[in-house]
Amino acid sequence: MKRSATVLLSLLVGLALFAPMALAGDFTVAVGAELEGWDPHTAIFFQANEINWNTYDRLLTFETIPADESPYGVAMIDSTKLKGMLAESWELQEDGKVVVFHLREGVIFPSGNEFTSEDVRYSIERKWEIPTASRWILNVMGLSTLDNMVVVDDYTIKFILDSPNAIFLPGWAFLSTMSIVDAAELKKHVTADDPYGHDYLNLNIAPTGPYVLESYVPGSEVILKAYEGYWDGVPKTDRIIYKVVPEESNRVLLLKSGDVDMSYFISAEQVSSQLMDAPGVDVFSIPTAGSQYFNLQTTREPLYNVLVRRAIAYAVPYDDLIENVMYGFASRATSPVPTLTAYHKDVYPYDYNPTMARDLLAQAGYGPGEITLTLSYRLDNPDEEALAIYLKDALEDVGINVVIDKVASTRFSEMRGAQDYETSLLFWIPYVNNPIYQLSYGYHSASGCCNYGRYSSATFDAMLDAAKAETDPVKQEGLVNAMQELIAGEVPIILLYHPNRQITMRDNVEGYVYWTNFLVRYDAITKN
Amino acid sequence: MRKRKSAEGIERLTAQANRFAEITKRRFGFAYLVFRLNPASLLGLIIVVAIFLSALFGPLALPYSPNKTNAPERFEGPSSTHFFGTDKYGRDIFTRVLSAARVDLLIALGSIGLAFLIGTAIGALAAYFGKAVDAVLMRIMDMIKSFPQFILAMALVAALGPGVRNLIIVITVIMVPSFARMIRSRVLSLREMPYVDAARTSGVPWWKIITAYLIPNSLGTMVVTAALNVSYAMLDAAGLSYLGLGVRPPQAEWGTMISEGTSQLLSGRWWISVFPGVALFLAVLGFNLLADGLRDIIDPRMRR
Amino acid sequence: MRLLFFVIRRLLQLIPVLIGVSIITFATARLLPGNAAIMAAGPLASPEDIARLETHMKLDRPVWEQYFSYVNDIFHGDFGKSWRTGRPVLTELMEHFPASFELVTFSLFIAILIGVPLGVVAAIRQGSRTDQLLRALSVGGISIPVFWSGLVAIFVFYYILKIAPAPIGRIGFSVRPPTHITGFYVLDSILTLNGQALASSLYQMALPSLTLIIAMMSPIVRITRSSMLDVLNEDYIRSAKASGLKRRVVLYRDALKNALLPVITLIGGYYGYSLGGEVLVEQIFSWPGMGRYSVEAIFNLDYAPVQAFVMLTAVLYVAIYTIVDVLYAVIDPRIRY
Repeated sequence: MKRSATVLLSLLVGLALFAPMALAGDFTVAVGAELEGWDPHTAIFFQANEINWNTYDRLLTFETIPADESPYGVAMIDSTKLKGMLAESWELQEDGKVVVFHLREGVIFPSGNEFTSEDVRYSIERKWEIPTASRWILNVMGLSTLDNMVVVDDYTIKFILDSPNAIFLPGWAFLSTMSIVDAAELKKHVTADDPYGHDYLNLNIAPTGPYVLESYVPGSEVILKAYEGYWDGVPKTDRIIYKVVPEESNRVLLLKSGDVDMSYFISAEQVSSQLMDAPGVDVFSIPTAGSQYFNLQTTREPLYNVLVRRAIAYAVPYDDLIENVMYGFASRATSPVPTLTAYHKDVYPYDYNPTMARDLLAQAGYGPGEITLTLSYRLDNPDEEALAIYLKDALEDVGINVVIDKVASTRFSEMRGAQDYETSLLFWIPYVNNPIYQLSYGYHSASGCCNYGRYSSATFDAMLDAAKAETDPVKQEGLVNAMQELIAGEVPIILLYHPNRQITMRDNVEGYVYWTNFLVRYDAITKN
Repeated sequence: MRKRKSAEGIERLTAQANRFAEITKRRFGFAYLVFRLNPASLLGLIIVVAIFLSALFGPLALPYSPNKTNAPERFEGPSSTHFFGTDKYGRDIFTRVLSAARVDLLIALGSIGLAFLIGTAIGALAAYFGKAVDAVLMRIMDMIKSFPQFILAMALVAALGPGVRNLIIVITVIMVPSFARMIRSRVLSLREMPYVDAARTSGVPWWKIITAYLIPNSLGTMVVTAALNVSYAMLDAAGLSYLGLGVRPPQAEWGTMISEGTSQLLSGRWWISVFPGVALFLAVLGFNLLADGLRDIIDPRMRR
Repeated sequence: MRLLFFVIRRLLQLIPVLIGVSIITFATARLLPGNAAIMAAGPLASPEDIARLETHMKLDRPVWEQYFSYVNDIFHGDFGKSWRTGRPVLTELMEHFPASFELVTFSLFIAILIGVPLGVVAAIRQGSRTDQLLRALSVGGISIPVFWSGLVAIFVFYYILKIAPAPIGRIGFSVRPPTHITGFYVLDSILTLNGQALASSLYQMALPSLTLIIAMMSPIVRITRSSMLDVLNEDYIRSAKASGLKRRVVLYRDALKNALLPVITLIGGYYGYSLGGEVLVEQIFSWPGMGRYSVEAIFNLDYAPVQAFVMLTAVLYVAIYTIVDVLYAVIDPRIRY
């Protein structure tokens, strides 16, 4: 009797106290998917990377352009100006083939250990050795063997590259996978089966950044707590609460009601209809270097025929797509090199012209209804589904039948790697804002990564190799322009648009800095 | 029936009973009675017929195409030009609901039809031959049945890929065990009947016994099982499509439409999921009521 | 003695079923399109990275060898790792299990509490308007697609009437989950006398369990009613009535006991099925249960969790319905053929 009375009493008390209490220093974020899988050197998913972004530091970061100087109303990074993070300074030797980092002294991690070059060395070694980590990124950055990483002393570490590499330094700043882990702390948890503590780090954090893991409920929430001893000062937000809310409309509602301070990954349609005019909500629409493409598999008939590809290019209603799929939050793509990148030239000559499309098809020898194409896209992207449906209509209008193929995103990557698709939708953000890098990975016939249409042209390859080696910027620009024009003529991919990225938050949030990898660092963010 | 039984009351009841007895003697008399006495079953019959008709003829009668996009008219609420409003691509929802009826009916009836054939064969064979054959066949059925239906369906669709054909295959697989079990228990009781015995001893081959005697006399059970399972098949198909594992876009299907409308629901655009949901509900309800009515006809107890 | 034989025979027959389940599970997961190594390696992997991973994941061995190593691992409690999170699948499943279990058990309990008496009432008053109403409601209840009624409930009670909480999961937004003892929030809140967590978790569970209760109650009412009717029409009940015992006693003692047998079978089966997580309800209400976990795994073609999940739910289901079968045989001697 007494027990149930106690229960009843506490229930009543609880009900009385039951008013959502947000602690003042808390910042709540609604995310769309699970947050697990934290080993920074193997993490693939955005949400896991975000946790890492706040709990681990990297060697470098970028300077910030303040909001009032930024063209988009929100502070953003200046990707041309590197800034030291755990590395205090760095120098290039031997014409850029050797990079020496001078590490910051006196940095104490939350475990009490002091930061030394061993942490950097161990982090890179893990990344090299763990089976599910990717050495590829290190190779791309110019490191071809582990022996080329040389520890000089406790606060100096040296990397010997095969050749000067434009991506090496920005990579340390930009990529969450280049995070530095607390080596001494992590080494306590290695086992014979797991020599680098990969299993441990998937479930725990060995923090080196401004936040530590306070608690987490699998599939539901993660709470990060500020580390008062952070070398760059006490983080402004005391706690970050990530809540998993899979249903997008719920994320929108929570933001509108103020129950969360920020919501991630809201689609263009919901932003446009629900958030643009919502009181208390700020929306920033920021152009990105990302591109939405419509990829054509050029090795097979009928897409092998350039006339057919050009016909498709004329069949696409570009402006309508921007309006109907992206609700205006995008801009036309006019070159395989994105608009915001150096040497960009408006080379794409195609515009919506269905009559021309039908003529070209006829010229190629195909009547209406004679071609059927499969259009593949990732199933977790609602914007791409809308795009697929509109494209299907547009192509059917000119006599090309389309079968829509929704594919699991992981299977999708695999299909692309195996060239096992006919046409597909691709959203691509280049890791580095460099036109030669982008053209190389997208169209060079030997490209391992991203030449999904297996486009192969000896002319193009020759031009690219020449451009890579070219030191005269004028000549380089000439080559890059020529390459863009070649691609535009050959049209192995249909350039659709550059989607903007919509950032949605409550209007009392201050200190937000936009990163082009969309990750958010909370140590400088506060609420009014 | 707790009223006082007056003399007139008894007379009236007797007269009524006599009339019913008369009707029963006619060919479909009993069926007619059931439907007449039980308005629910009649309602079920009406709904099912209505769905069939609208699925067959509906889309032909309407001016809109179910799949053609029409962005300028998107997100319109119900009106005189668009009875059920339009969805996020500007497509007329009323047309799509009717068009979806075809797909859902096709999937449900297709899979039940196949499960009916396969399940009956398995159940009859298992019951007739008994012992080892029975044990093996029924254990296989148990294996399939031991998986929670929906989960197995999800995994199979993920493995086989989306599309109407694969949906039918998957749903057939998960429905076969219940048919097999029902037929098996029916045939088990029929097997001991004297006429079956007589046929066996006079040398009639087993396949003839099954097809000529056992199956026709199990038809009732089979039909009722089928009718009951049609509604499950429809719900499974819609549920799978709701998750995105069903038909390919832009094919209209009730589950997919409900799914597409989910995110719009909390924005106030309720018509996009509510109407397909009502349609699905009515279809399932219709089949369930019809199945109940059929069971009452088939079930000998009612004839008392 | 015959009972013992029956039980042993039943248990022995379980073995091939379980083997079959493991084969089907293994095959289904392998049928999932996509090379697991490529997916685990991620979009940045080179062919060498992938090859290394394939060896590590034993994917280069013949299929039958993979199957035996799979079975062997299971006997050691190793259900593999989810390549998405890198965590052991068994850990993740066990983490998600309490959410599903709590929701389903809570809902089923209430559904039984309301549904069985309603079914009995409908049977006693067969043919009356009460009976017809109940029958109509229960047919309606099983016809409503659960993923739609959940949505409508959210729309009506949360969006319009604003009396239900946001469908964001097991506990309110700013409330910390209770100290973990069992993982069942309601129970843990009671055990730790955490009034706020108790109130919040009950509040969050209201709408999803309402959706489930409507769906579960309907078949329970129907089966109870029809089973009760069967029994009420049995001769021995009639003779009991004729011998002058009080009506109520007759009903509640003999009829109900026997009527409940098929009901137990149904409920047992249903429970076993639902322990796998009510996928659709969990999806709509952001409930972090096994159902949602399996959907995520399937969409990401994460074959280890899919395999483990399908296997575990199948085993649970088989276990429960075997127990029910045996119970049935114990209670009703006619069954032990």
